[in-house]
Amino acid sequence: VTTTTAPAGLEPLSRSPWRDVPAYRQIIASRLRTTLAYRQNVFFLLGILVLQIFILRKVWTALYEGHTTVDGLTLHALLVYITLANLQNWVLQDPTISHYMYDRVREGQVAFDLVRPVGFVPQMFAHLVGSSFATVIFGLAALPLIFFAGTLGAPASPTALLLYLVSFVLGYVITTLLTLMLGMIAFWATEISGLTMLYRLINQFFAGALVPVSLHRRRCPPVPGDDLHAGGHLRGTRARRGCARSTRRPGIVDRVADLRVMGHVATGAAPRRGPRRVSRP
Amino acid sequence: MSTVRVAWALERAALRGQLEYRVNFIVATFMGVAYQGSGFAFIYVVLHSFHTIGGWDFGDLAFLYSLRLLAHACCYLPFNQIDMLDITIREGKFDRYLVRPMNPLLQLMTNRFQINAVGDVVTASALFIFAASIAHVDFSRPHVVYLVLAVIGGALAEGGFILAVSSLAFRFLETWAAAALVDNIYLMFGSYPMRVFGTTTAWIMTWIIPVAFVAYIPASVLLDRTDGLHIAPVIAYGAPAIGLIWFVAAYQLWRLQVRHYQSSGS
Repeated sequence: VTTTTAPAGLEPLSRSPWRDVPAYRQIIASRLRTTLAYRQNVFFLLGILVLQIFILRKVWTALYEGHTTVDGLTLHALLVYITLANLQNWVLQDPTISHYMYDRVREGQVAFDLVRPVGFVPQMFAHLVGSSFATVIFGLAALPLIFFAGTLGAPASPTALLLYLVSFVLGYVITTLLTLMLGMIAFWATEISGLTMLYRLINQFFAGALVPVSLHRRRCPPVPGDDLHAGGHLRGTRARRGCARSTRRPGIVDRVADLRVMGHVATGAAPRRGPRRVSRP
Repeated sequence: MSTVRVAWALERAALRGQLEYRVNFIVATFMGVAYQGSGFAFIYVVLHSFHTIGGWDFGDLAFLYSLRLLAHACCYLPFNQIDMLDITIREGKFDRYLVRPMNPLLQLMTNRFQINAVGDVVTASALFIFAASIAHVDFSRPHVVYLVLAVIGGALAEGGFILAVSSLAFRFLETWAAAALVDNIYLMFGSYPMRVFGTTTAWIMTWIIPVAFVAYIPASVLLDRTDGLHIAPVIAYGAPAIGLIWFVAAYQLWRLQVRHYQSSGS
């Protein structure tokens, strides 16, 4: 048995997962700097968010005229929900990275990303994290303005705050995976701008940023005690206590299962198959 | 007339170019429907739980929404490339427009075609037919004439404001986000009765940004709701003219801003 040693300077690289961290840190920092450099755009996009929150506050206030609670929600609670949901949606939904991926693929620059020693998907993930840092900074700076345009309040309890933070992180993971998956479609389709916009709109509506998701479900009978629906003259929204089977809140098992399915699809199928579709532009 | 013929030929060529990407054509058209439909879906969902918004019932709001959308579709069909001005300037493509024997604004408008405009037209037409069947609108001849003028005036009011904002690209080079903000202002404020937003906002959305003249004021006239308006009825009847005034003013601003164009040299 003979053993050989690699010449000096050509030793096999360590497979430590931390090996690529400095590279990711560089990508995160450069994405953060890029977003800050084009801050005037972020200000205008922030303006759209503030306007949307303001309009939703006015519209929901007009809708609540003469009612104290709807679906068990007071006006104040609903306005806090709407403000928070829109702010969170704005922070999490950054379309620039899927556009960036699409541009790289279309113009052939993705080849440079693919030959780098760090993986393509982790690179894009680092871009997303950098971009998220920037939007969080802008979102936090805009809080006084958002407070003025919408309604903010303290958490109901420390437990509620903790659960919110956990769900926020899980929401961030899902959004990130979906954004990566959306960007990967660029390997198959030459144009994805329409699809990206479509995804954002559908996501905004069904994620409950405009209307609480409970109001989407209207096929159940009205709920006794709900002061809007007590008269029975309106088609009842499905309130929390309405239909036992379909209003069952998803448990932790359901949520983890959803996450696993999405995670499998996003991190498994698209990123592995997407880069194989690279062709000369 | 020859200018119109050339512009029309360029527009058709731009449309044919976009039709080459068939999947994107379908997706973008569907996106236009979803984008405009999402606002209506919001109204539909909440009005199944609540009766009215600011005293307007579902039929009235559907009519208001469809009128705004019709004006928007009429504006967006020709003006869908205006917000590309900033990238056109940055990439030095505006130089080409200046050396050709045609108005640069017309060249910009016919450079490409944004497919989701087709979705806007489809949604606007479908919603208008639906809203007209459920709202209490008197379609007498004067009302029909007013309706047509109001849609054109609304399109000019929206197009004028977008043109004014986009022309700032000659100075600031990047204005797409500002144009997106304007688009959202029209979408969000134009779809509800102004009294919902309070006196100050209603005044701003009437006299500073002409949102109310696009649909709210014409819809109030056609639905015989002028009593609840925040302006005199005689101004409400003249709403289409306000759009024309806005557009002429915006075009003058464009001409002033073009003088500040500096080529990127690339």
